[in-house]
Amino acid sequence: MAAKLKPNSLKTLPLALLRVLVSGLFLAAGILKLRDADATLIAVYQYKLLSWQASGVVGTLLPFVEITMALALWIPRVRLGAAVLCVCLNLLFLTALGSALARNLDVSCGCFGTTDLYTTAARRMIEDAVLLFLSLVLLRGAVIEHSARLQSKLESGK
Amino acid sequence: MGPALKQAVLLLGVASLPAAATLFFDLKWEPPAEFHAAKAADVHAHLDHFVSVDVRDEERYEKAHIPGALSVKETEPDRGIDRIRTVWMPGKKIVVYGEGSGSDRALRVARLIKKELRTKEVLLLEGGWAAWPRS
Repeated sequence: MAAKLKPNSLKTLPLALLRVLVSGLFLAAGILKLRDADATLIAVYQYKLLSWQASGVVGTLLPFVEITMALALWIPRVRLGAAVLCVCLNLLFLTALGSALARNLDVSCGCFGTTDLYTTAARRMIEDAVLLFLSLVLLRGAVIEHSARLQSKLESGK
Repeated sequence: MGPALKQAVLLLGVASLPAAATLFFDLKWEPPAEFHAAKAADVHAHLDHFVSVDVRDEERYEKAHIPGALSVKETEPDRGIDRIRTVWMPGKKIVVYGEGSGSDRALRVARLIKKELRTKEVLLLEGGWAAWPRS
């Protein structure tokens, strides 16, 4: 199956554009969070899923994970892991937003630091769902690329 | 899925290094100052170059304020912005001040003015009203 799917057979330009979009979004989100650590801490705590101390740790770690992941999407050797992280992060955000909506919590998203204080959780859920779909497309591309690399390694080893 | 997880864990490890340093050393990744500060003495010396905006309570404004300053209530921002529009023209600097230094209200109003008037010429008075030279 993997042998049939070569990266060259993919439309690589749309995939690269998608990578620019997704990594750009996560990079911007990470930098904005980093620039206003207090706002990020409060945004995480607002979801009432974690204690204040745990929110501090998550709020500190999250921007670095986003930035690392966004940059790693451009490094072929770790692209697969970055794509997995990307999907996981989006699932995490969707779950947190969904739970906030279910509990009728009035949370500002906090996804982009203080620049999106007035974005409602419902709207952000829709955006995150779209981003999750795009991340899954990136993951599929990364899986195919990884399989092709393994295949060519095997072939050259014969 | 083995290599994918391995890579993801590696990336998480890489990301947790600066995060751990941030927590351990209590680092602050401060943004560059959003607004430049205007020295009270400069504003005092060149009053006609500035539109002064006072965001303190009306009562305090009535007692004393920078000559020519407009009182802008944070709770009625549109009215305040309209009043600034009548006296401000591009090229003229707008200096916002609250009671002392680091006034959150002054910062919020300054942000609003910057956005509404689409100008970068908004400054915060260094030290706020407390720093205004009394003569």
